[in-house]
Amino acid sequence: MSNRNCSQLETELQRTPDLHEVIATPSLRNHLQNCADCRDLFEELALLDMAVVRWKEATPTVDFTDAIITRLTDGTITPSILSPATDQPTNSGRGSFVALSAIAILLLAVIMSSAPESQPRPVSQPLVVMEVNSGSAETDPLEPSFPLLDAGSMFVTLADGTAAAVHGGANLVAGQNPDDPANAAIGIGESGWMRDLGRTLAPYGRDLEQAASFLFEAEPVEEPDRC
Amino acid sequence: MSCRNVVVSEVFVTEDDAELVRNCLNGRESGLRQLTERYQGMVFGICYRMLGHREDAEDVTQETFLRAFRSLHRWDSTRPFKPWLLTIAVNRCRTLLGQRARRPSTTEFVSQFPANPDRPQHDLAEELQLALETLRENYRSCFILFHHEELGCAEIGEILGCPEGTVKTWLYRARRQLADHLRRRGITPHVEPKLLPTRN
Repeated sequence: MSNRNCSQLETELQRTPDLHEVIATPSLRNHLQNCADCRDLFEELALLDMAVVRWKEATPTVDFTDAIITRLTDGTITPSILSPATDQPTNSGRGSFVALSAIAILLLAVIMSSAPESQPRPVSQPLVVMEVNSGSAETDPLEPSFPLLDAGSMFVTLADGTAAAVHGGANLVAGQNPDDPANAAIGIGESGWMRDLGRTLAPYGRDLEQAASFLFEAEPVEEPDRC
Repeated sequence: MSCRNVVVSEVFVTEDDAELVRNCLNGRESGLRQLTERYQGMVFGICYRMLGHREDAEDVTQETFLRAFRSLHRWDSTRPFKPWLLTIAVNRCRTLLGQRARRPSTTEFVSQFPANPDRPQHDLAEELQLALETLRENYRSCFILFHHEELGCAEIGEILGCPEGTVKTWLYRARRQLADHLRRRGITPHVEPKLLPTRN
């Protein structure tokens, strides 16, 4: 028995399942005559081929044409193809989310960069965002009014604002009526937290935008070189 | 014969398929009917052999066509239709097999025992089907697509989403395991004398 020929036979059997082709090679044919192990394997595979012939013959024939057409046309299945298709494949929800997020971030950037200097918020007015960040519904009026300088809070606030912007749409414009419950809820208005946030984060604007872009997997915004 | 190598773009795309799909998309029932008639045997054969259960295979075959017809507008007409349809069928079978896997199977248990030697030779097909159900799903798909549907390795690779070389490896392993299974079940090799070289 030759190990080289055994491996050669195995390689050939892997290359082609056709046993006739395998034994057409004289060296392999000679090897099969002399190697009991390979001959056993060959016999088993030949038996398998016989089984395959019988197995294929045993497959029943069927006709589902009427059943399928009926299910398509009787209303139980939406027959989208029976009316000319108008719905083309759409992009995934992930793509839409990224696009919406990019728009929201752009809006936020515009709001933050165009916010005029204003008087600091009186400490007696609690910040909506402080409730989010502190995890407490109660806000201590004696606490500093700008607790947003840690990076985690900034991202939470930004994500919060982004989500609100996505849902708020056109209402997200600085100077909206602060008495409007929808605007008050997201801190928009002359004295809203959004304006305060913009002023507070102005020095970090570039880094924050890049971080937000990364956070929402949007394309990075090209910034002009700083002078 | 080597593993049936064929060039996908030259052989599998038939003008008829594209025309039938266009008819379907234009709302003509004749297109649906012709596509079903053309491929139902092939789809059912795959489902029947993969699932080993006629009623399940019938259900999955119909579901395959319904899914395909509802998604026809997504089919890329520059690609062949048959592998696209068969991919849906294989995936539906995989899903059902995955659900079945959560339940205990008797096939593997039964196949450990030797077969009844008095059983007639025509049960060789049943023995093979029994053995198939013990194979891992990739090997089983590969074996069925090659031997039952007589597809080439390249086409099988397209359906299963793997390279042609992988298909050949899986096919060989499937054949080895099935042959070994038949031997363990006591199925006696009775090979045509002209096929085997005579022993010295």
